[in-house]
Amino acid sequence: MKPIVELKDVVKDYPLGKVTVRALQQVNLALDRGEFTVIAGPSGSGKTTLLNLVGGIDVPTSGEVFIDGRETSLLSDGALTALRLQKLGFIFQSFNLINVLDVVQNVEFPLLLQGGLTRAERRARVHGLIERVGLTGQVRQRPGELSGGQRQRVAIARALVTRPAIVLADEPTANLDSATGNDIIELMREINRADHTTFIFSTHDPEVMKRADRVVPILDGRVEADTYSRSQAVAEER
Amino acid sequence: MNGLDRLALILWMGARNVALHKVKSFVVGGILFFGTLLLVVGGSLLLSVQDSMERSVTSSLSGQAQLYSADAKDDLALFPGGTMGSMDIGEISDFRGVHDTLLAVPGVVDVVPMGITDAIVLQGTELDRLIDRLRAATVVGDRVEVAMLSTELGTIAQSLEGDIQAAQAASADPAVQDAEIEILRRVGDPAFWAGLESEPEQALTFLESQVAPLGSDGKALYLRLIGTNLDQFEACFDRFRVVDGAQVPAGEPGLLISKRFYETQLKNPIAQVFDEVRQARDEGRTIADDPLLQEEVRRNVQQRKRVLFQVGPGDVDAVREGLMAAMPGSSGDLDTLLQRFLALDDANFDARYDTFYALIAPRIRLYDLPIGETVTLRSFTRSGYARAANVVLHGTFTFEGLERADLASVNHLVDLTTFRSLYGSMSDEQRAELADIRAEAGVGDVSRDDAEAALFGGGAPVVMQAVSEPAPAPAPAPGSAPQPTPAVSEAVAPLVSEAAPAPAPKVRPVPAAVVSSAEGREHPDHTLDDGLVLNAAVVLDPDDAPSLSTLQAALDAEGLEVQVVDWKQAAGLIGQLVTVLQVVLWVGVLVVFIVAMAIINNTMMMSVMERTQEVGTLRAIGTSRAMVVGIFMVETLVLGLIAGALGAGVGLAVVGVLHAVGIPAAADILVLVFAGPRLYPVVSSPWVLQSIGLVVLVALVSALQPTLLAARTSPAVAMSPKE
Repeated sequence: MKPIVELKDVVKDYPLGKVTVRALQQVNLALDRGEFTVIAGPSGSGKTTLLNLVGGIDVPTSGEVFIDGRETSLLSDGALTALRLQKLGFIFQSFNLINVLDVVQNVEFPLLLQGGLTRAERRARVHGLIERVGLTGQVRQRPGELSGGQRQRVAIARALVTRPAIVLADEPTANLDSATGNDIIELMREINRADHTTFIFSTHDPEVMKRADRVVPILDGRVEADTYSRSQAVAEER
Repeated sequence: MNGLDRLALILWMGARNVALHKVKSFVVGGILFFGTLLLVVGGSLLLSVQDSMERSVTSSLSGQAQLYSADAKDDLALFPGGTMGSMDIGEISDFRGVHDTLLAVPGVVDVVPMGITDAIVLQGTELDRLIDRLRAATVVGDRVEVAMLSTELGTIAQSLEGDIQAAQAASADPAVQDAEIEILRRVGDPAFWAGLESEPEQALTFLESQVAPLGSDGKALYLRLIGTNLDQFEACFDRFRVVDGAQVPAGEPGLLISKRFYETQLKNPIAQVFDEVRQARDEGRTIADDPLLQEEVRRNVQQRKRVLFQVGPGDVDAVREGLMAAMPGSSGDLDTLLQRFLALDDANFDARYDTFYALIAPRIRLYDLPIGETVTLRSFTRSGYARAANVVLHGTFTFEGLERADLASVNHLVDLTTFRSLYGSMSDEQRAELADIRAEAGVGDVSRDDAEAALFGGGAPVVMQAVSEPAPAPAPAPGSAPQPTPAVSEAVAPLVSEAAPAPAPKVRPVPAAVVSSAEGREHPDHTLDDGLVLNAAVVLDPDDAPSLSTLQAALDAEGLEVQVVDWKQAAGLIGQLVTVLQVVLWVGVLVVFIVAMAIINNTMMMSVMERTQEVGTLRAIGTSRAMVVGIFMVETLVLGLIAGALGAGVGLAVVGVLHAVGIPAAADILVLVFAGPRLYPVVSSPWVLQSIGLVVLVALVSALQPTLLAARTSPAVAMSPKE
C-alpha cells in the first residue's frame, strides 16, 4: 500500500537572526494509512518542524514531501491551504478554538469553508461528532466556558468533521492533566480503530508513546530507527 | 446555501469579535462614532447655511444668476467685503438684447437691470441748519423766528465756548482757542444781534464764515447705491419690503435707504442708545449688570447736546415742562434737565424711553435724512468727473429675515435714471444742454480718422457750412461715431467743452444726422430697458430652472458679450463665505479622518498582532488568505456600521434639537448667513447615509493594511512554539 505521507531526503532550515539553523537533516520517512503514529523527541529535536511539513503547513528547504501523493513544495499557498482543508485535520496543544464561536459553530467551521454539504447534512455530521466526543450537553457553550479536556474534545471533533485522510495532533495532551490526557488519547485511539483515520502525533510524553502503533524518534533533526514497532505497541496494549 | 451560511457565520464572528475585543472596538468605534456625528451635524449645518444663504441672497438682491459684461475688469460683488473701493464691472452693452434673449429661455421669469455706484451725501452741522433758517427768516422778515433763532444760536455759542475752553487746557497753541472764543463771544453780544437788523448781510456772512466752522464736523455719508427698476425689483424679490415711507412711484426718481443703515447710521445717537438699551433689556440684560450698557448711558449723558441743540427755540419750554413733569422735583435749564433725564437706570428706563419718544423725538431731527426730504447725491464718474443728482428719500426698506444683517444693509436702492446720471450716463435734457453749449461755442467732434482734414486741411466749404448752419437743438451728442461706451463719452465731452475757446473755423461740427444715428446705436432712447445697465439679476422659476450654462449658451448664441455667474459668485464676500465654510468643514473632516485613520490603523495592527494565534489556526485548518481578509474586513464593517449608525442617530438628535431651538445668529454677519435671526438646520437622509458610508469606507481603508498583514500570518504560528 502506498504510504499516505512520504518524506524523501527532507532538509529544513530556519533563519535565526543572522545564522541559519538546520531543524531537519536528510529525513526519510513513510507513514502508512490508518496508522497511529507518534513522533517523539525532546524539545528542540525538530518534532514540530516535521509535523508542519507533514501537515502541509510548511514546505521543506530541500527534498520532497508527499501528502496523499501530492508534493507540497510544488503547491501554491492557495493550493496548500486547500490541501489542508480537504485532507487534514488539526489538533493543537493549546486547543486553538475560535473564541467567539460556540461548540457547534467551531466544529462546523471547516465544513463551511469546504462547502458542498446541505445544512441538514452538516448538522447531522456535526452533532454526530459532538455526541461522539461526549459534549452533547455543551453544544451552545463557547470555548471560554469549557474545561481544557472539553476544549480538546471540541478540537478533535473539528479535526474530524471533514473526514480527513490524516489528523495531526501537536502535543495534544501537553496542556492537560494526565487523566484527561489519557482520556483524549483514548478517544483518538478509538476513532482510529473504528474509522481507520490516520493519526500523527508529536509528543514527548512516554504514556502517549505507549499507545502508538509506531513511534518515530527524532533527535537533533534526525529521525532515528523506529524504537517501538507497531506490533510491540499493539501487543503491549493488548 | 453554503455561501449564505458562510456569510452569516462571518457576520456573526464579526459581531462577536466586536463585542469580544472591547478596547479595540471602543477606540475604533468611538472614532467612527464621532466621525459620523461630525459629518451628520457639520454637513447638515453647512447644507442648511448654504440653503438659507442662497435664499437670503437670491431672493433679496441677486436672483439665481447675475449677468455682467464678459470683459469686466473686476468680479461682480453685490455685497462688498471690507473695502468700499469701487469695482469696475464694465457695462452690458445691449441690455434689451440680453433681456429678450433670456426671456425666450424656458424657466426664466424676469431679468432685472441694475447698476452699482457709490455716492456721497454731505450733511451740514446743526449750526449750518440754524444759520440757514436764520437767513431765510431774515429775508422774509419773520421777526418772531429771527428772535427765537438768535436766542438759540446764542445758547449754542455759549455752550461751544465751554467746550473750547475745555479743549484749550490741552491745546498746544492756546491762541487758536482764544480767537475762537472771541468769535463766539461776539455772537453772545446783544450788539451783534442789533447789527443783524441794521446790516443783515454782514452779520449772516460772519455767522456762515466764522461761526459755522466752529460747530462739530459735518458728516459725509457714503452710500452704495444699486440702481434698478424699483417696481420690477419689488415684484421680483419677495423679501424686499418697504418699512417707512413708501415705494418710489414707477418711473419717478427716488431713493430708498436700507432700514438697518437708517437706524444705525442716520438716527440721532441719543435715540439710538435708547433703542439699544431697550433691545438689551428685552434680551434680559440689565443696565446694572452690564458694564457695556453703563458705558453707553454715561456717554449718552455727555453727548446730550445732540438733543439740546436740536430742540427748536419754540419747543424749549414745552420740553422743559415735560421733563420736569417726568422727573418730579427737578428744575433748572434744559441742559441740566437733560443731563438728569439721560442718567438712565433699570428702574427709570421704561418711563424715560416713553417720555423720550413722546416728548423729545418729535421736536428734534430724529434722523439725519428725514423721509420725504430731497437728498443731494454726489459721485465721481469713472473718469473722475463729479456728478450730482437730487432725489427724494421716499422711504426705508429691508429684506425680510435680514433685518439685523449689517452686510445686507450696505446697499441702498435708487431708480435707474438717477443711477445713470450719477454713474455718468447723460439724460436727454443734459444731452440737449450740452448740445446748446457746443453750438454756441462752435465746438464739434473730430473723429480720429478725419482729424487731420478737419483741423488742418479741411476744405473751406465745409467750414462755411458749419458756420452758417448751427446744429439743431436736440441733436449733437458727445462722442464720435465709433465711440464705444458712455464712460468714454463722459471723458471726451468735458475735454471738448474745455477746448471750446479754440478758434471756431478750425473745427468742423459733425452733421447732426450723423451724430444722431451714431448715438442711436448706443442708446436708442432712454426707456428703462434700453439705457445703461451694468449688471442684471436673472430670476428663475424654481420648479423649472434652466442651468446657468443654458443661459450662457443662449447669450453666446446671440453674440452678446455677457457672463452669467451664480449667486454665490455674484454675492462677493458672502458667497465666498459659503465656500470658506465648506472648506473649513472639509478640512476639519479631513484632519479628523487622517487622525482617525492613523489611530484605527494602529489599533487594528495591535489587535491583529494579539490575534496571530487565532489567524494561524484559521490558516492551518484551511482558511484561505482571502477569507481571513474577509473575516477582518467584515468585523470592521460591522463595527463601522454600528458606530456609524449610533453616530448618525446622535447626530440626528443633535440636529433635531438645533432645529427645534434654532441656532441664534450671535454675530450680525450670521443673520445674513442664517437668512434670519436663527438657523433651523435640517438634515437630508441621503446625507446621513452618505456620512455612514464615508465613515465605514474610512474604517475599511484604514483596516486594510493590518488585515492584509494578518492574512500573511503563517499557519505554523498555531503550532507549539518553534523548537
